[in-house]
Amino acid sequence: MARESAGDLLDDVVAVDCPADPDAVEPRGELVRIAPATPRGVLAITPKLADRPVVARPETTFRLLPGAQIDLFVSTPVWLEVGIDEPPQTILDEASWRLSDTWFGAVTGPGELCYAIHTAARLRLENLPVLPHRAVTKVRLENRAGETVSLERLNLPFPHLSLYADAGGHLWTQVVSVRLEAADKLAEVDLGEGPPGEAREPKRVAGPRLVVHRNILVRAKSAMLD
Amino acid sequence: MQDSTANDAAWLRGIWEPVSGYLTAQKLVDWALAALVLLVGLLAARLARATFRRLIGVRLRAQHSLVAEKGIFYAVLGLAAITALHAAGADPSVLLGAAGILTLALGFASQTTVSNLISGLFLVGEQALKVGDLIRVGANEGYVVSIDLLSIKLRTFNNVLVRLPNETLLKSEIVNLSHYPIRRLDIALGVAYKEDLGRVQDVLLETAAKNPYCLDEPKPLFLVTGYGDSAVLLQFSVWFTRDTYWESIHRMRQRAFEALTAAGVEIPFPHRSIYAGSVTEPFPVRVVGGEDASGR
Repeated sequence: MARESAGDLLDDVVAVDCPADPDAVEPRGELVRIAPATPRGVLAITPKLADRPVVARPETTFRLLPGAQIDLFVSTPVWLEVGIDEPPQTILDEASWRLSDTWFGAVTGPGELCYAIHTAARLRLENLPVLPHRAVTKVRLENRAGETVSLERLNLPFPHLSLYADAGGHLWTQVVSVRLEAADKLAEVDLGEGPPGEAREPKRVAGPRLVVHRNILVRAKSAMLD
Repeated sequence: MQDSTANDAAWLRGIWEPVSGYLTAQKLVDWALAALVLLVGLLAARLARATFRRLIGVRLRAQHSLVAEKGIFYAVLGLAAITALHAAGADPSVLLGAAGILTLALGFASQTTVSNLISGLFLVGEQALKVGDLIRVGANEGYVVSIDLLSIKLRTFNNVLVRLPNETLLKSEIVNLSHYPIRRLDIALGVAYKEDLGRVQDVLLETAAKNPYCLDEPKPLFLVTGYGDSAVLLQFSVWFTRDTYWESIHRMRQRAFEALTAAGVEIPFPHRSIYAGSVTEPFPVRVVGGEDASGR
């Protein structure tokens, strides 16, 4: 299997080639040979969400006035899991686009290593280029605090989210709702039951990488917005 | 001849009689019991150490667990040794009294050892470092492989084990390079005075943005640090996690240099002009090669 990308973040051409003859693979990059448990088994490629939280930073300053309630659409690259079905084994779990690392928290810790994306924070879905190797997350932001809040970065807990595919083959994540209750900028986070209504006939293609515990949500409460 | 034989027999009797008087069957049993007590004590000490490690040690920091395990082991073994001596017929109270005097004598004789021991306890208590940390002490830099009662052992990058006495460590400046989860890499460089510093900044920031291991936040830092003899002095600082820091140092410097070269940014180096002075004659210069040599 050979994977190739043109290198442009918004390029929608990610070619996956499975030549029958291993010699047909062009000797570019690193060649990895894998021995499965049994020679039988069907190779399956499944899209998954990022293995770490993704910190989305708006490209331009974004301020939420008191009482504002908006929906943002954020697009992020998916991971590709290559596995065989007999016995179920994962061969490869790799990003379709390697995002830059970022640190979310104080430089002296505590904090967590995340991926960084710069988002246009689109308010309308039609303005967002819907690409096959990227998943769209609908973020519902509600400012219940009595003052203006500047949205500087948004920590999306992708390891706790499921991935869905709609009838058009586009990928969606669960809805993430963020409520700002007080002026101290701690945010209440809710993970929706499924994808947003914009996804037509959605089907779940991948579950969360980490099981959602109550304490994780409490932790996310203080870490969602900064 | 007869006299010498008689003398030998008397000499042997002189040795054998006290020995045979001491080596009664009861004494042999006592010594065997003492050896058994010591053996059981050794096993009990090892068992106590293993039990502590399994039940409590896993919840402690590595160095705390290490010190406590050694303390438990030697305490149990010491008790077993006293019990064994008692079983052998020795009076422990006399022994303890003698041990007090012996300890005092040993204390004076082993000041360095005691100092190292106490320094080790302070170091463990301070929690300035732990097993696995990357530290620098003086000229030594490496990973901490063990924290013992008397010394700390480092494995340097060229795979050499360095033993540092605890007393030295307590008096020295310890730089813990892996204490915090992220680290900053400072790259000092200079560009020619004619260069557009804004463009240089853009080139360097783009280099950082293209490196996925370079952290997006904290943001890279671009500073003009001074005006050198032949270059504007700059500092470009980027952040990495401590796990990727060492791999990134070389790559980041290489990419920054390549990007500046590709962008046509001049990185000047000192030029040396040789001037013979006004009094002496100029150096005679003879051109070798070129058009004259080739005849064209």
